[in-house]
Amino acid sequence: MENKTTNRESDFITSLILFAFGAWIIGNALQMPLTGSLTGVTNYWYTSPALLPLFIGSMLMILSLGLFSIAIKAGALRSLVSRFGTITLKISPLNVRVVITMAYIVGFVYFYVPYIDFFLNIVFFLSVFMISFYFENRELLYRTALFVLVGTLVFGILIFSGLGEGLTSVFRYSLDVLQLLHIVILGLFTRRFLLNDPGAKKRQKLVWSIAILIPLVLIPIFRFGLRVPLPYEGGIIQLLNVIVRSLR
Amino acid sequence: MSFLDQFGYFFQSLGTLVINPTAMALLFGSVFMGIIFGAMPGLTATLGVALLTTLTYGMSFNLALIALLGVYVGGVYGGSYASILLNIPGTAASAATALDGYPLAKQGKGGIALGLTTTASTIGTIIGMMFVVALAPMISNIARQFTSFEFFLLAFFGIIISGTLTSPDLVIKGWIAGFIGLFLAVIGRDSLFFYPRFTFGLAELDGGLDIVPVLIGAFGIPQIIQVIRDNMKSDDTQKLDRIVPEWRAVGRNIPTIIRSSLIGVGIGAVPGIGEDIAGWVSYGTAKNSSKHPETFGKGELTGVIASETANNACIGGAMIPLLSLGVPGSPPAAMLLGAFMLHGVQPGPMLNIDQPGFVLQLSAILLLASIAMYILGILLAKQVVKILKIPTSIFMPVIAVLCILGSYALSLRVFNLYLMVIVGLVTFFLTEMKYPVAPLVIGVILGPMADQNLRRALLVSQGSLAPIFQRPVTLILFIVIVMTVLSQTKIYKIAMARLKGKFTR
Repeated sequence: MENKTTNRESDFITSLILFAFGAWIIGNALQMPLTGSLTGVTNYWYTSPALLPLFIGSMLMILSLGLFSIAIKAGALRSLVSRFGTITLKISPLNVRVVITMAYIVGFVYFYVPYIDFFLNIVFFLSVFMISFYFENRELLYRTALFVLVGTLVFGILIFSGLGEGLTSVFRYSLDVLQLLHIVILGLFTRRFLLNDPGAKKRQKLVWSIAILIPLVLIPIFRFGLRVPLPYEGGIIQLLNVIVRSLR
Repeated sequence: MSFLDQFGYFFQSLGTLVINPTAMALLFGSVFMGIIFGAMPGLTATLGVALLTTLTYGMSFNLALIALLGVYVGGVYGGSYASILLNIPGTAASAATALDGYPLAKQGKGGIALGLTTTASTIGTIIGMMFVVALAPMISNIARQFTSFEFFLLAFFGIIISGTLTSPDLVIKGWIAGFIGLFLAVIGRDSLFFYPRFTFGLAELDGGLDIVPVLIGAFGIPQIIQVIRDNMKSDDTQKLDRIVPEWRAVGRNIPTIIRSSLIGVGIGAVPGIGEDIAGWVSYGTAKNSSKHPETFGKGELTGVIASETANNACIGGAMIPLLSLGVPGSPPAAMLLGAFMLHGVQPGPMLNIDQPGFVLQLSAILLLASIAMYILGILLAKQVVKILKIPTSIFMPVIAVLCILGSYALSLRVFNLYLMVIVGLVTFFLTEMKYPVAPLVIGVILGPMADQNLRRALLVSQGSLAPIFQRPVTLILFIVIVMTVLSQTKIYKIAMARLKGKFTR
């Protein structure tokens, strides 16, 4: 029952968001040409590029009103108002895992992939993920997440302020070297943190073996087998390139 | 082609594949990969097909088709492993299998249960394949009479029915998801006037959203987040002895197999709803028609057979609208449609004209894939169970890397990665709020078809909607859509209840 109430509460909020979204779609669609001449061709309402967007926007508004009414009838507004003063941000362990997972994926794709060697990125991503969740140690999870957050902020500042460009003009692979340092520090930190855990040594070996082996398998398959240029080919991939060329 | 010509072509395709070692190695490899994807909780056949679409892009279309169908068939079957041994469905399609499969495993009959699911899945796939051969060309012939109104209403019907039948909470949420998918489909320059819609001045959006990153984002990212959040453990599997194909049990359940196959094909043929619904409906029907329904849920072999036959027969069912109308019958079929289009093959009524024999070739691959699935299922089940024991915190990050590579590799655009993440996060929140993903995906896939055909239809009729009521197929589709929507309203339910009351007095 509590689950259903929570569902309806979130339906109440999402119905408002969807209504606004539908209105936004209609607003944008009305700016598209509905009649007159378009690219030299006579445009009618039924051939207008706005036709389907107007339909979609209207339907979203109507459906969100339906959802809103269901949520109201189920007492969502009453429930939200009664809890208004007592609503606290639930930071359950499950929610923390969700936020950290999302942060890792977003950080990896937006901050690392376009600017740093892809091989090093995969090693970093896999090691961070596995260290955070494989050891099932909450303290380690939080510390690793903090470490990654700080590292990502540093890289973000370097990249978006233009400092990174300056560094790469001096030495082409400077960001790759920083990422490598990042990985090494992560490894040392993890080792020190788990020093007193007898079973952790074997697990750490497994984590680092997988973190290095997976890109060693995937990158040659994609880069040299399927001939797919990778998002950023830095020092390590150039080195692999040289090795493969000399073997051929 | 005459019936004998078709027969000959089918066996010729079969023979060509069997004597080709590359094709056979690829088939067995992809079926095995599919079984792994299906068996691992958190991975799905759809994700397997999506990831393999990128890997097979550089291959010839025939080899790519073998790989993709192999993963699809193996993936749907593979879900039974986790269902039986862990009581965690590997895929939604095998959720019903767990009800009787897991009790069987607890009784020490895990080998019998897996042997049954392997046999039932093989038979289901073969029966589904036979329906593809029989019905797809017939429906294509009918569909060649369709005009733009029919295709628009067909696309709209697909979105509405998918939203109605797959929503875990309110039906209205399914429809909302479908319209969100439609919105994603209109982003980009329109096909008629090349006018930019919702591109925000970004050149990367001019061509619209690429299907593969959107589908990988919709199916992959939410799964990764959910599995990591729930910290699913697959290391306490039930003991597994020799896999025993119980032919006597199969023989005793022939009526169930035939009924379940028909249910699977029928449900698969309805756009967007897929294998999970087929499994549940078949299980429920088997239970209701059993002389001893109280035995279901306690290790009843019929329950396992019903669920697995239906979900694999659904593969063939989903192929029928995909090949004949260009409308996918299930989420993995939607992914296959994307893969077909990438290789320059346009499924639909003209498929038999542009590529005669394609349906027969595909059916031959389905037959071989089901045989490969049977062989691998019987011989390699214990190895698959070992793979099941890999912690999710190890293999999910690897899957995330594959999703990133898969989204990037096709168009070589980092922008596709940004898109994949955004779609993935939005879909995650939608699924948490009990919105189904299937209608969203169907909306994205069928959006262009709906847009072009609506405007083309209205251009021909000069803005008049009268042809909808003048053509039999459009009228039927229109009535079905209206009835589907009305059936969810309170007024309709009250009216039906009163009508039922009058007849039962």
